[in-house]
Amino acid sequence: MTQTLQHVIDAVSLGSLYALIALGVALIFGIMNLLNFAYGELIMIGGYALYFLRDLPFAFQALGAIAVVVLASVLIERIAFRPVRGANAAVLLVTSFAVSFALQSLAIVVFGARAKGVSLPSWLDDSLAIGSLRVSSLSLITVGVAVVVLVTFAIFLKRSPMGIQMRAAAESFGTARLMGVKANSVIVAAFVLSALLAGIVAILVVAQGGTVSPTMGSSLVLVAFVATIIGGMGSLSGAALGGFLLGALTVALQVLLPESLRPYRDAFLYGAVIVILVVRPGGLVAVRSALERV
Amino acid sequence: MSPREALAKGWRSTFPVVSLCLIVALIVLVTMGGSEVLQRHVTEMLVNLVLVVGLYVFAGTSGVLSFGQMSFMAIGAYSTAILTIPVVQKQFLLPDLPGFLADVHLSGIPAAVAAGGVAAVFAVFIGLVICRLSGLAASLAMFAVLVIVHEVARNWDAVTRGSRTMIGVPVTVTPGVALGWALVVIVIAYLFQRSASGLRLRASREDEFAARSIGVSIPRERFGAFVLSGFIVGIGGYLYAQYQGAFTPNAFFTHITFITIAMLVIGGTKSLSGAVVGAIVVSLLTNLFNSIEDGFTLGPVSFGGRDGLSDMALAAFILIILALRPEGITKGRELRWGRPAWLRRRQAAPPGDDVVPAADDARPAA
Repeated sequence: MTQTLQHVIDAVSLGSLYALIALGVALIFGIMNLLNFAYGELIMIGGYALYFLRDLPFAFQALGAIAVVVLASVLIERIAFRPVRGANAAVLLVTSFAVSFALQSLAIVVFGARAKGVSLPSWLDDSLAIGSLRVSSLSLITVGVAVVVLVTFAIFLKRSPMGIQMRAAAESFGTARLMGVKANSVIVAAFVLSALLAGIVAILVVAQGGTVSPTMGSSLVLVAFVATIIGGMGSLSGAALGGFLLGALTVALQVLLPESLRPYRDAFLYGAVIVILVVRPGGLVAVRSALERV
Repeated sequence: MSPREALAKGWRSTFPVVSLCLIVALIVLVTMGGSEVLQRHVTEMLVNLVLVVGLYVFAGTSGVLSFGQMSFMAIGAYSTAILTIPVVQKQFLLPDLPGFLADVHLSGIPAAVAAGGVAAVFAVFIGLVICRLSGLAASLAMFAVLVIVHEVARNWDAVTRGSRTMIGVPVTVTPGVALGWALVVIVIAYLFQRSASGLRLRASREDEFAARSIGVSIPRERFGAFVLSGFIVGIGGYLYAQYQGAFTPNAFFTHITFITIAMLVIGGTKSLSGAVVGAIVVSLLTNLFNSIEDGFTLGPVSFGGRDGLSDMALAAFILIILALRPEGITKGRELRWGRPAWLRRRQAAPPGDDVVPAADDARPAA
């Protein structure tokens, strides 16, 4: 019983992290059809910002890191993505791939390829005993942060003028512009929001792993792509759901697979992804505007 | 049609492939006497070219970008290793290999065709599922295939040596051999794209619904292209294996996937010329920047070899090319005989040029 509960907590906490990452990718994908590879590098930039600000009190360190990530995201949009805006998906993808490649290489030039240790306050990594259950405070914090962020996002998108404009733009960018939605401000807002998420994720990931390295974001962003697409292209709730599902599947496979097959965990995970795509090619939460019309 | 017209038409329709083959052959001829390093660069470029042409045969003609085509490269490369490592060596490199594989030995063209064949058989199974999906779902499902193949290669000790380096593959691929395969592959891709099936597939790329309305079965056409693409990428894997002599599963994962996609997109996704030009240009730039990275002195400042600089320069270059030419260097057109487009602008397009007009010719000539 305790064992099962332990696994459930692991699954929910990993799922929360994936959901946060997927949301950042889905925000931009919904509006400008860009699968943003460089999102992983935003997380990496956040990590290095934490490393740089390691002598400040934690609150300043965290806020500083988030600010740096937001700044970087806006700069990237201006320099790299604006010139190719509206191009087809392949071009956008390769552009974001080039940005991610450039940032990774920059990190290698500046900091070297080896991982650097960053110590965050110890209360992030305590382990709490609840009855016979031992839970790391980090997994509780991850779940808590995810819930707060998801709820805030939902309210922002439902109620605020900018949120409504963003949803309109995600539905149909052209129509939204005809209604007076400013393309630039909506896209910059999406990049800012997605950077806020990247900053938060960076703190959680660094707290968990304790190190930063130039490639720390690349595997995370791939998970986010998968979550975004199985969740339903461009649907934000779908992306979050996809993230939770991937996290849960990962933990479930880790626990349920027999010892001899455990090294193949990711093969099974991605096999399940293919099955989901075949059964529901439009994603778990199919968006009506994404249906192809004749 | 007079014989003269027929000849002119024949020339127009073969010109793209002839010129591409000549360009590639010329590069190899010019660099023939060069240093060993140069020869290696040229071979590497040709291996990339085969991979990108293989990717083009599916992604370029169908318009479905695949993130997983390099799984066929992995299968081609591992098949090559198992088929071409001498039997005696195999006994201690791969002691747990199943019986019939332990005794088999091939080399040269049969080995390449076998490697491509194994990849193609795998493509048949995968393709039955993938070709029913469309757009991003297909792209991502292929990425899932890539991860699965990677995980299996990393863990299946008996056949792939797991995450240890596969060593002992005979190194036989010289610039000449690679050139031969590159030319064969270019011709195959060109014949395919001009075949009835290739034309139907390209029609579906331009307008899925219009193509369906004239009776094109998109899954079936995609399936053929997918298997052919698997075969060609598998041969690319063979070339890679026999050029490097040693490799790990990571050689066939995200890095090569995105480099080949970048090559195709930079050249121009919609044309074979784009695939070839993209592979050549990006390989050239990579090597150029790598040699700069090894260190040079500029006045009082000396740039030591700093890791990462060449990758940054390459990335910057890709961004500039895409910002200036979002449709790629060739804009998705084939090379053609005659005056360049900016001189032809005011003339009507010559009649009977091609059954499926390229995108720029699709507008009615007013």
